Amino acid sequence: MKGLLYKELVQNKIMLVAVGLCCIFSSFFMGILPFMAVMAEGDDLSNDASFTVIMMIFITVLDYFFLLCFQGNFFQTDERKKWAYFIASSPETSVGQVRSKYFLVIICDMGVLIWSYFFENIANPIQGTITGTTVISGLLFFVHLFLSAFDIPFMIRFGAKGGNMVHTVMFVLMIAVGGIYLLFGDLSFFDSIDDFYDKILNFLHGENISDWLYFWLGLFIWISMGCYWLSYRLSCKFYLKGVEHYAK
Amino acid sequence: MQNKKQEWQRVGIFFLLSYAIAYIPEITLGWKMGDYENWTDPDMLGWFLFVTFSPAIAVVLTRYITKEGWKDSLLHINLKGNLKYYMLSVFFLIAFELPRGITANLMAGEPPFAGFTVPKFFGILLMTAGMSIPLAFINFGEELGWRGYLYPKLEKLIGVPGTVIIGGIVWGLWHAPLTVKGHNFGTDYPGFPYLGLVLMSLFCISTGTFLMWLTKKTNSVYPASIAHSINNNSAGAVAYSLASEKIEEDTIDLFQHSAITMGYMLILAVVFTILILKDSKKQKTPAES
Repeated sequence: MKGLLYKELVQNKIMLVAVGLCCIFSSFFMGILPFMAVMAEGDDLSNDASFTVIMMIFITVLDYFFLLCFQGNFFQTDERKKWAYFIASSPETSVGQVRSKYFLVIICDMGVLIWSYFFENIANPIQGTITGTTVISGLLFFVHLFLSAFDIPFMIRFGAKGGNMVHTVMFVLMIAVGGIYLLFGDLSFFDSIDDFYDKILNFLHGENISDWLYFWLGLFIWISMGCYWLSYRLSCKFYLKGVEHYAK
Repeated sequence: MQNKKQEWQRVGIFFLLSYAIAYIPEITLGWKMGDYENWTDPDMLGWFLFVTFSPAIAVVLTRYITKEGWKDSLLHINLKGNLKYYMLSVFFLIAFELPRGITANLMAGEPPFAGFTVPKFFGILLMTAGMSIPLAFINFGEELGWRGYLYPKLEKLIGVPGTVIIGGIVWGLWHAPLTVKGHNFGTDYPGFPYLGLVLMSLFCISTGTFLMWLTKKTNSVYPASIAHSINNNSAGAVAYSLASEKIEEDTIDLFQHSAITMGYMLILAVVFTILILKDSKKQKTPAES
């Protein structure tokens, strides 16, 4: 297992560095540079906490988005029939191969979470506000886990290309659902942009949150963990069937 | 003999480094900012990060200075066969702290489960416990230092009961600059701040014993990091979700409440010390025979 995980890290190092660089650059250019520019002109942004919070949330979402985009490549690197049959016949078996992929995704997910936490601690003194976006980052960790739970079995069953199709369909569906909600849903929370910002700030600081919101978010967290485990079990079953779809 | 002396030297270097790295910024900030409530300044965040990871930084520096290497670093996950301990790391301290909420109600003259509602209790339980798992990396620094380095070394030198007590006191006093500023029990209690330091050390002795047991069972610092994260972010929140809405922060004497609940916390220390001793005996027996 350790050997396979090491192989994954070495094999995907370019992708991992790419995700890391995307996160670092996006965070720096959006989270620090504008604030330094404002400070250089002698203005104070500490009173505009809501803008800073929204910016930090956007950066966190973007970091997870980068990871989701690059994730497909982790599966493409091993798409060779010879390797698949070799590993299936080794003591590690196909289960070890699948497990190492699932571990790699969790490691990357943790990497983004840790980066967001550290970045928040580095950026907040420059921004002049305590944003408290670690909560959002933690929730997005589970959103990513939940999406990966659907994504990965398809990649394993139909190859990375087939999986990427599902990936795209998922994105389109999410955008479509979001669009439909924006057209026909309840948008009363947007009525006053100040109220909307206040609600986000209250949520981040754990104030005035309804018990049911806590309940559903908490349930989602545990469901996403359960889905990821189920997805792993399914992928273990699918692995050798998926090998037939490999080009090489 | 030479080996023992070397181990003591390592413990000494680690002790000095972990305290120095944490105390210098904390004392400087305390002097600059005053009471803990004033510490929520954005400029302080970077320092907190530094302080939280000071035991881990101390481990890295000690291992480098003493040329000890990374053998027995307890950095492996060791999930296979240890899933039950990982589950225990998530739920044990929450279950154990539930009586704190009940005690708070009883102290205020309310029924024991006065504040219980399904969405409130389970919402906080599911949300905070779930979130504490990935956020355990925040406490990883402390666990790598205390349970991953100091406790195993002390165990070799002074045995299990000594490790539980001395290790707990070292861990408790490491929090001293925060306790003195009112972070743990406020500042308004008799014997401030000395009794607060004693109470914090007792708390660290009891919780530390459970964390030591987890680390020894799994040969990994990760379950202890998760349990530590649960203790910091979740256990208290779940316990206080049972508290009646009539109870406000000011109506309960936080120090008095902690002192009352310390009794059963110490039972935790005794039970897990016995369990660790039993396990050590079991491990020794086959080798001796």
